[in-house]
Amino acid sequence: MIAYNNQWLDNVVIQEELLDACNKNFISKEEKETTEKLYADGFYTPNIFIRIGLFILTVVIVSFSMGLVSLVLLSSAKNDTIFASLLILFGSIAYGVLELMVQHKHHYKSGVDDALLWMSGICIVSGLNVVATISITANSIIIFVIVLYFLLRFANALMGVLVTLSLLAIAFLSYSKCGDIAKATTPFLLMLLAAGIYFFANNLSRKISLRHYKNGLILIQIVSLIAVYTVVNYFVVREASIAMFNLDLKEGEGIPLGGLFWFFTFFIPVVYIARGIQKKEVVLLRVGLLLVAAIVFTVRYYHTMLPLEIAMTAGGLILTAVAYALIQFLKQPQYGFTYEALADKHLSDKINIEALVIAETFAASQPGDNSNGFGGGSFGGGGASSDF
Amino acid sequence: MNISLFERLYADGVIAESSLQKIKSAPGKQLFSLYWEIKTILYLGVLLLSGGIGILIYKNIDSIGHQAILLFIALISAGSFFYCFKTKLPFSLQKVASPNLFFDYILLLGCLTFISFVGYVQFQYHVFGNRFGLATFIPMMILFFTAYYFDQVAILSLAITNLGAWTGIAVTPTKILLANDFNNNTFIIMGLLLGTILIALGVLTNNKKLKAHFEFTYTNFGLHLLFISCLAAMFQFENLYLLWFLLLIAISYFFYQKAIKEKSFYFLLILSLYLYIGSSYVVIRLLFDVAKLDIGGVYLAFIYFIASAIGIILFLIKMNKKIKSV
Repeated sequence: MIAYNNQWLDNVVIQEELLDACNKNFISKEEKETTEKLYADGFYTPNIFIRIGLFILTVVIVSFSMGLVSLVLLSSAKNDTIFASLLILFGSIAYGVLELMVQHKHHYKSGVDDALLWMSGICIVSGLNVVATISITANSIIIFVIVLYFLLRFANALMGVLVTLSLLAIAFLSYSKCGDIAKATTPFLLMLLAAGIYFFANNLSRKISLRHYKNGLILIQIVSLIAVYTVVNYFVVREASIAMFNLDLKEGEGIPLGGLFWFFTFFIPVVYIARGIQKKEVVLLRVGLLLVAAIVFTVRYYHTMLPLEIAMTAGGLILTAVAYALIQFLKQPQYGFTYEALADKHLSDKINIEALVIAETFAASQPGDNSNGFGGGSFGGGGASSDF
Repeated sequence: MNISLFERLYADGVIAESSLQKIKSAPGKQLFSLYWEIKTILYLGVLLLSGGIGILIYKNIDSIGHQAILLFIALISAGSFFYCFKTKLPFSLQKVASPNLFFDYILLLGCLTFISFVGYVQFQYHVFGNRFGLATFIPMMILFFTAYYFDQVAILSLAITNLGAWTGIAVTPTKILLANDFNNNTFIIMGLLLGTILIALGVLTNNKKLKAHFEFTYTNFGLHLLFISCLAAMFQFENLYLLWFLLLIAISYFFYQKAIKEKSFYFLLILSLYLYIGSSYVVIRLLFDVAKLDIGGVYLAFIYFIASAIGIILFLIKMNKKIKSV
């Protein structure tokens, strides 16, 4: 099923391990080089920045070729059917070229293949939508089928996200139509479904025969874990019921089973974090931590217990103290945990992403008045909002 | 590390026994790292704290409690700097490792609260009179000093951002296009100047070996500012666009040399994209303003985009090979 040479894919993993071991000085450079020759791959995989460039340019080429052809064909008569068939035709051509690039030019994560994959999917789906009126449910099914195929064929990890989301969308759209009881139980059904997807993907990710789908399966797990929480989060359930099921609530009024949803809102992230620490599973732990932020937002949305600035300052002090305590506690590794970075130099180090994020979020607000060539006026830098 | 893989490699005779032993006894083999989790908690903590303090000052600016708040800020700032002075490693003009990751963020907190303090004092007591330039200049100097003294690239980025603010230009990634008025002639000139200065600082940093690892930060900010200002100049000073295009080519050539020398795929990609935007603008102008084509011009423009994109793909693929083999 997978479009790539399996042996080469294995060799790519081996090369990564070798590079890692060499960076940590476990094996010598000579050892790395001789071994690499034994486990060579024939893929064309350029540097990540070149990949980004090739991606953008391939999108440019496909879009302008499509534009040129539609300009020639549609200049005389405007016709939806012609345009739609053109889109589908281009989607199919993009897919054909993708197969050619993968089979014969051995492109693997080259940017060209990523771009063709996305363009072909988008063209076909939008072409179908131009030619006929398709319901959202049918659209979800079409997207699910296409992205599942792409995931299996090209092992593109991002397709895992779309597979999970489209599957949940299908379940939501078809089940909530089945009357009032269905509407009321929709969150629970979706929660069970998402949990099922998580355990299924978790299981599959341990299968050696599926090792090339590892990244896709990780993304499926992340998305399904977030989905389990989202569908029973108090805020989501309340606002979605009002917006989509016309639940008539007054300001400040609770929803049926509100207590249960509040329980889930608090309980699920705690379970994730606890299980993540217990099983040392990075996916569970990080998703759990992320969802703590969701708890804070949900609570603050309905209950203003403290003024914002006090809550922020106190929260900041608490978080900083927690970090300090953790670092002190883990000075010597405890129970197999450490605070030292174990991973090696990443791409993010090379272009200083951390420094950029800090400059972006903490930067002084920008002056508006530029009359004397110097921006005056605003101070801050404390992350304070503008016009100080 | 995948131990079984290396055992297999050892059995195949491609790696030595000593190497296998090293891998097997590697520290951290069974350790689970909380590095990024703690870093994120710290980042959020400092973000909330400095943001909260900012609003706190704003809301209490004329109230009775403002002196207490002033004291609170001063205490946080002084405490942070005290911790940093105490735990820092000795100063050097080379790269100095940070003692731990708590240090980095506490220093950041110290700087931010200090800047808030200066700003608040200026607002309340007009220490610097009406010289607002000074109120941004002083924080900037503090940030530059802290960046060099404690060897902090993140603070250097903040300092450069403040340098931009002092000259009236936003340089951070999301604001560089949105918050700047590139229709203003003086603005474009300032942008070109500041960009050149930043790149010159980068060159200086590298040549004089003054914290040589800071070079990339200067160059990166300068690179984007210079390219964007040059493109803006092309669009703004319409009649002279070919002249500015020559400058664009010159800048690109400078960074092309740099990319080859430093084996930087990043510079190569960035310069290709900016140059592509510039040359596409020139081609469109030539087609529609000079040759005055109508629908035929549209066809030609489409063909140009397809052909040029293919051309750049081939160029990037070739460069990828070249840089790898250098």
